[in-house]
Amino acid sequence: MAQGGALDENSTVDDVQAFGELVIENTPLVAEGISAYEAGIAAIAAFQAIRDGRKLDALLETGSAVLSAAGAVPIISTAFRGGRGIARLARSLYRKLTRDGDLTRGQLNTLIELLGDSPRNARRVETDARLDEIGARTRRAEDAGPVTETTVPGPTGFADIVGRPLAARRRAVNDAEVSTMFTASTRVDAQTVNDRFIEELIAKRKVDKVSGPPPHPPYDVDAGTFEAEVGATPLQLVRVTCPDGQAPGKWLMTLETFERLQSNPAIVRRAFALPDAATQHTIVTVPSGTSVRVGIAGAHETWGEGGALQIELLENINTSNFGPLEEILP
Amino acid sequence: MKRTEYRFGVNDIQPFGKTVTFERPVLGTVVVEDRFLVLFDYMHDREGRGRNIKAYDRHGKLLWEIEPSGGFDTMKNGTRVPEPYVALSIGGDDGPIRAHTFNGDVFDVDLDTGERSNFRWLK
Repeated sequence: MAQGGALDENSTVDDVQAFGELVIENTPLVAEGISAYEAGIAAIAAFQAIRDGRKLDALLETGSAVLSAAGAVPIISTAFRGGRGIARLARSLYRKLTRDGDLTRGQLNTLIELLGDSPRNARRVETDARLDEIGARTRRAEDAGPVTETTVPGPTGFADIVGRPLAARRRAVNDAEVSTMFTASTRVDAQTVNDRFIEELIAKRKVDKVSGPPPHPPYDVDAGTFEAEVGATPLQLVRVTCPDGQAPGKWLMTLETFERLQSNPAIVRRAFALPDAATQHTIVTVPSGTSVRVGIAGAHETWGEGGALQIELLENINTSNFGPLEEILP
Repeated sequence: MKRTEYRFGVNDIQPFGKTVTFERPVLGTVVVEDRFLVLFDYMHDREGRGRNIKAYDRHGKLLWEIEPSGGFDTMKNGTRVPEPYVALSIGGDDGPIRAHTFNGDVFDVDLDTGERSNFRWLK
């Protein structure tokens, strides 16, 4: 394997396996969920594209997966600056993809340039220090409790080596992590919370006199759910909305999570299981003493896989606490 | 049918050039032809009925008040009260009037009756 953990043209299948394991075992943001989550999603999409014979798409998705994985591992990410790591991996993958001769080297080089110079990649490089900081804190949180696992259907090949295990390791939250943000933390039964939520949603739906499919449960029942209070200092959080949404609302996320997601409204949608792409956001100042519920967003069949940390206000706060809605720029 | 949306935070509004004073702060109002809808500040829902959107004619006579959303807020003492509405909006040019809750629910509101339809949860 090349220096810095990246793959090169001489990489063997074992190298790819080792790279995948390195990414998985040293990904502090698996617990933070987002970058690894993106990597998993992209890698699975890459596999599906391979399986469907869409090899250009496969290459693009694989590049995205590696970018995400690189963002999740700050040490490795230096090897990917300027697209060098992407280029190496893409060449390696290229050999696998082009056994049938469907891709020309010119097409490959164009894709490598696009991936290496993409704004998303540049943004990741700029935020390396930030990732280090979040990663260190998340590692401490991970030490305090296990990461839950769910099953992701999946395929083989590179996506299976890197993406599937990453995607399968879903984000969890524990008391230690909640206590870094809030006071008076108490674990609650997410199933009870979900049941009550669904009961109310069904009641609301009756205005249309249709039953419809069951609404989606807002919390991942296996990932830890807590109720707590904002401490002595007001807390700044972020609310994202779909196009028809309004600023006042109780479903929020941390600034850190938002920063990690804002480059892609579609990813925000999937990570929080929203009915539509998140196109707007606002900063919310949550007053001291406000009751909150903290947990991991549950999955929805068509909206998204969930998996991100979400904070629900358990009491109403003044509209003056919500800033103006601003567009989320991809 | 012209729809005009205003946002306030005071007790006095002038929907047709004449001041109307309410006991509770008004967060917003939508004026449509001969009537106006008022969203009262949900933090001052003393009655705790979750019906804080009302429609008035141009003379200030109450036409209807909205039904509660069907959801509940749990107070710190454990009691549950109907959740209020937190925003009024207009769904585009000449579009429906919409009522929003803190939970991210959205209903279309009938201008004549206040009846709700087209429920969606936007989160």
